[in-house]
Amino acid sequence: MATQRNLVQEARFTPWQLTAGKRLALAGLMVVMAVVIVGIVVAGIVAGYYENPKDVRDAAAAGSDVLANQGTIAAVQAWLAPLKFVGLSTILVGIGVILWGIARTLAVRASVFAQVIPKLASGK
Amino acid sequence: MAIAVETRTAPTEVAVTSGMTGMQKMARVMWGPMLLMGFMMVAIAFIIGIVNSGTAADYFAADKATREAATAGSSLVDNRVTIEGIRAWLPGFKFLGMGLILSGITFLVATILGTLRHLGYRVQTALGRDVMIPTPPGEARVFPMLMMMGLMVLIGTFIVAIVVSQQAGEYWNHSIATELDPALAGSALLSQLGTINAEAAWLAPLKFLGLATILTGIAFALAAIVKVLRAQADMVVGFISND
Repeated sequence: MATQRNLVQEARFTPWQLTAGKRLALAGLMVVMAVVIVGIVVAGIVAGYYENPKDVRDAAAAGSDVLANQGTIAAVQAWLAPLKFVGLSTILVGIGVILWGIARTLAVRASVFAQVIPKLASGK
Repeated sequence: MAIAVETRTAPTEVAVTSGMTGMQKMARVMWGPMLLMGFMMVAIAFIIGIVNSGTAADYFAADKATREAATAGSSLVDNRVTIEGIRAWLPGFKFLGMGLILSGITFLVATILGTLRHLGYRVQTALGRDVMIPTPPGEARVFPMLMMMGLMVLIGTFIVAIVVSQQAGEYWNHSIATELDPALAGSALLSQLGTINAEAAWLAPLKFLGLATILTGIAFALAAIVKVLRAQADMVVGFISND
């Protein structure tokens, strides 16, 4: 009876990789969503920057709003582009972790089958 | 934790798709065309890129003063219109192709899930038992929605990119030296330039969001495989418990 209970517990084994992988994938998705939100904010600054004629943009003096906007656009783009890849990579790592979980589940399944099939074959 | 099951009477004939859900039957047929279409789109984008590089080479063969003095209707301005127009829509097209490839992979994982259900169905039929198929886990309901959402985001960004390419074409169909550079604050040309650059700023991350959503769907589809494998092991143990 105890063996039967152990077998049921083994069959219902859930690897920690299942939860961890899903959490990583969702965290990555949230990072990419945050990048989209920052992108929308930057789009507003970009639109404002290009409202100025070319000669004003080119002749902008240090400390002016135009130059500050230009700096913000360049600075944000510099970290926003890599952050997109951080988000995508987190999702891919999540997929890798879940695949690891599949491998562990298959191993447990092999052990369960090895115990059940002889009993089925012998009709016990 | 008990696993919910639905009971079906074992049929005399076993079809290849027996035990699969409607979505899995569709996925079994659709994964190939999706992968092929996606790959073709990415390959077409590459060919268009090569053609556009020829136009860019022609355009930059002229010196800066000549390029900037060229007026609307001249071949130089036409080349610039082509370059900027393609630059606006081509990335969206490539991402849509990548999205279709990832959707094809999602459908393949769904096909694996369907095959696992079919396997359970076949084993129970072979053992002469009433067929009990576990109800799909929550992840199996979520991943098709994530895939569809991601694909819709990519289709949406591609449509916006086509609109932006029209605007880019209109903007660059002017002389740089006499019309674009001297454009005054509040002019339609400057407003167009602002719109083009602003749309590019939010459109690029949105394309990544589309891909990320489909990839998250793949993660959930794989998580469903873990749960289905667990349910199958549980069911096999049930065979000896019931005997």
